[in-house]
Amino acid sequence: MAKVQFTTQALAKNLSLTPKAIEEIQNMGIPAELTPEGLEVEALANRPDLYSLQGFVRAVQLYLGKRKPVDYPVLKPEKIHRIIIKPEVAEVRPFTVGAIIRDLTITSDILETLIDIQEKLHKTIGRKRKKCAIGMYPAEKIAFPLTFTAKKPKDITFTPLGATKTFTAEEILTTHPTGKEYAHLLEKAQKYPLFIDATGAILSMPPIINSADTGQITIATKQLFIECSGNHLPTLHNVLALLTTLCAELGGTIHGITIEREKETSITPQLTYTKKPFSLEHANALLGTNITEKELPKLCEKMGHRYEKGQIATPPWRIDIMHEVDLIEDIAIAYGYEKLIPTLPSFATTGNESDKRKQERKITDLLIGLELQEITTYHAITEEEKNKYHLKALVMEGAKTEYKYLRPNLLIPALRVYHENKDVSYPQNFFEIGTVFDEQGTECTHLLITASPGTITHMQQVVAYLTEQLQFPLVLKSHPTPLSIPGRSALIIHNKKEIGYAGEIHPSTLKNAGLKMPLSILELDITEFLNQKA
Amino acid sequence: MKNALIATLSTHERTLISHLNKPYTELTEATGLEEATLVKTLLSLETKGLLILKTTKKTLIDTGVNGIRYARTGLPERKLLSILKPHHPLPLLEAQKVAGLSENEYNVSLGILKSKGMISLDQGAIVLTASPAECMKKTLEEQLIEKLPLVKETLTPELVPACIALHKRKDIIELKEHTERSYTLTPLGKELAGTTIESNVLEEVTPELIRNWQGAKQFRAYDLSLPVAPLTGGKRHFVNEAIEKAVRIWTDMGFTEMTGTMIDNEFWVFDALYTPQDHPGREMQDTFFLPLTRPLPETKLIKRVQQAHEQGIVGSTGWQYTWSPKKAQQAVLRTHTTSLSARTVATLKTDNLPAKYFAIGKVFRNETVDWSHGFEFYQTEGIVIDEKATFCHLLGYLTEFYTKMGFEKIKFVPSFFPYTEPSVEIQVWHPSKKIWLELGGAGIFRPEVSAALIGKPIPILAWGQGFDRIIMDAYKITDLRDMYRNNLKQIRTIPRGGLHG
Repeated sequence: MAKVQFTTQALAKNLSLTPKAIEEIQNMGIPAELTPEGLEVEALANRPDLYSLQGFVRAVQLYLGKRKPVDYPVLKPEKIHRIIIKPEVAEVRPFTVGAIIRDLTITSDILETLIDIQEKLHKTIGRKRKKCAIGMYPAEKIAFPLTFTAKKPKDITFTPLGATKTFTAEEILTTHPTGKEYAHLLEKAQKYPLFIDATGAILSMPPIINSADTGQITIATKQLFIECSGNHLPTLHNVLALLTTLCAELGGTIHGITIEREKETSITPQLTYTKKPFSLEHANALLGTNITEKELPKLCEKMGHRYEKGQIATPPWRIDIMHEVDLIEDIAIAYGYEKLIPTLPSFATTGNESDKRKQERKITDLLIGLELQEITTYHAITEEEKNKYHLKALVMEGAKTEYKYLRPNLLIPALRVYHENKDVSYPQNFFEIGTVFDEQGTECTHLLITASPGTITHMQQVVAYLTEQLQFPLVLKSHPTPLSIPGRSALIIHNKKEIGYAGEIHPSTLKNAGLKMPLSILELDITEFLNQKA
Repeated sequence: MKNALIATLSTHERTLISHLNKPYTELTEATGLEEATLVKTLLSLETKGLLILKTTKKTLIDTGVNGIRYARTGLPERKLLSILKPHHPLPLLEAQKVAGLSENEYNVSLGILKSKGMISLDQGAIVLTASPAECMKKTLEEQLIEKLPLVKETLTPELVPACIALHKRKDIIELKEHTERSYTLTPLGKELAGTTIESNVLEEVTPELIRNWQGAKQFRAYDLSLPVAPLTGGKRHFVNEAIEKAVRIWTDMGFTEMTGTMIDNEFWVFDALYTPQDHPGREMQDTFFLPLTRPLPETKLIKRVQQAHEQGIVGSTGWQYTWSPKKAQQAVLRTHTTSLSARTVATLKTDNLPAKYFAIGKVFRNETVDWSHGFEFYQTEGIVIDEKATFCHLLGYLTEFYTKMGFEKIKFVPSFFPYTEPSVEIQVWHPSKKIWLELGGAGIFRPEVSAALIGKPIPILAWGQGFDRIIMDAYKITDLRDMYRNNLKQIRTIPRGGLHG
């Protein structure tokens, strides 16, 4: 997902931002909001064609019926416009595709558009250049044909963009800002990928950086050479289709490039419409609609497709169509979600809560009867809590907050709650039923009951009450437990199995936790009880 | 009015009224009430409009334990001063012995005399610098001690520093808070003062009183307009109260509850839901990874999922990459409850259809915490597996649920999720904020999901919306963090059934 801003000024030539138009844009499933500067649009991950103004306008005008789907002809490549892929590059970045754009007057606005779309595509479907890196070059400065190969880092020297002297490949990765940012992508590579022109000059070292000599487009650029390289060929085709159709929308003509890989040759970009079989019957059955075949061509065109008897042809810039259902959704959007009638089917099913929930509710009802307040706490504890109470807990890797471990018990979160409320009126008697985790990630459901002020006698009474009411025998066995006063703490036994503990918390623990009132607790694994048939 | 007032008077109040023509100082003796009870009773009569109680707080200065002793023997500094002679420096060590002072007394005395400029220290000896006349004069401290007891507020300005200085020293003087009280009667008080009111009224009903009841006795009337101490009952946390309501709605609509663990492997959280392995949502930036693996399910299912990703199934192009079973084993905290739906669908047999399931459970995202974000939140999840299910049914179920949750206007807009197509986002109208609230996503599971899970592309209606936003709105909470802070004042007083009844 990407947030895209379009200024009113830029939109004015193509779209007037009337309330009706905004509503239609939202009906397309494009979250759009008017801002003082213009329009802010959220392009969802499946629609990178909306990242540019021209792509957005194309989609909206089609939806509004103000234009028809067009073809993007690819002119036959000139003989020298070839990229030869060498086997050396197979291990590090095996694929590339490319195109030449002519007749495009690169104004500063267009230059900005091209740089912006490149950045957005890198970030999103390019997976931060890992899957696809884009290079744009002034074609007139390049001697075709090109070679896409790989060389040992020590054999690579050129002047990267943003520098005035030559760097070795290693220097680029360790000292150049862009180099440092993307160095991890070449971490394990023995050889680094390179585009080299017919004179032997290095054009770029993808996915890192272009050469300063031949790798920077400016408003003086007459012809554009675009290449995409990466490890996932379908993505490269998609990205090139998005870029070249954008250039065509800007006024350019698209010229092919021959890609030679071992004995195979192919021409890119491939901008034909892709046909997929489409069954109106399926569509109506899945959507619950009665769309007629007569309506179909118009509905298809609203989304950029063309309908041809039993088939839908998808334009090259709609890279999200994988299956007939994607087309069915497009038909639904074109038809208008607002016209779909929410319906409940007539078959009957019986509802049922889980036994776990029913069993939990038995406990909850009893404890509320004992005037306990339910609390509900985070499933995580902080590093500080883990260390303070010497706990073993499972780490949540890379956690962005202070809560870094999964809670191994409910007592620690409860102490946090007591601290939070230490100046609120007492008694403060709590309970919580919740999931706890051990270091192996095993999950159990615990029940915690606390009384402040409270004594171990209080907990004995609660244990006796629960035993009687739940028909779940619980016996206290005097035993020292951590944090409690010796002689006033016990293990809780169910059918000879230790399932919990009870105790009067030691004053030193309370003082250390910043608490001022006596506290007694019991904590119990109730997983077995919850597993009983409710 | 007067009679109604009299009926509410307690026994103490009745007794006191009969003596209200006497000054405050005589009341304890006259009424036989302890001072504390007397004051409480007077305050109570004040609220009933009979009198105005005047309280003046004063600080009384009196001699302390050491003060009494020094009154007899003289202050230590006086003792030291008395052994010094002009032009005869006395070595420090010797002076203490001669004066007969303790270490502490000696040090204090030296300090005081030095600060008053009466002595100076020179090469380990004390030199008297004060004139004999000065030595004869009583110090301010001595003057103060002689005059004790005194009211601090009435001290002459020159004695105030002496008082402070003496108070710092051990037990020479004591400062005591002293309260002086008096009262003036209101016209109503004047009317009642000195009258005798039947003071034998009944207070509490006791078992003894019942046993011995003979009738014709008067109970004191209680003033029910007076504030009483608040009750705090046992209560569910409002978050769980809201969840219970949602559970009831789903079961009323014929849905069966799904449960499962919060830790699951990527297979069930992502792969089975056709989310490609390089999807940004599967990075540590968004998902909590755990240093564990969880085994994959049966081979047939893995193969179908692998095929769906690698080259596509049931007419799909797939994501076209090499799917890694190793990554699929990686354990994560579930980022949505849809992992439960995937597991449930995988266990279904086609002859058990149609079937409807729901879940409400915690999900986890690696987010920083602010007023609208948390690293864990609730999701309400549902699936309907039905050969004849349609997208309009999906909208129907969601409309029914959110209408029952109390939302009057519901809107559906197209959206995108990797595992549903068509996809939809649910928005509800917020009448007071006058905005559409985005509640989250729903859709029909893609054939790549349903065919992989049950072997056949049966339509599965599916949804999973964040629930915390709804709870916040229903209980008028403006900060998401308050939902898990357990602020007792809040959870005790937040009205029950805040979720639209």
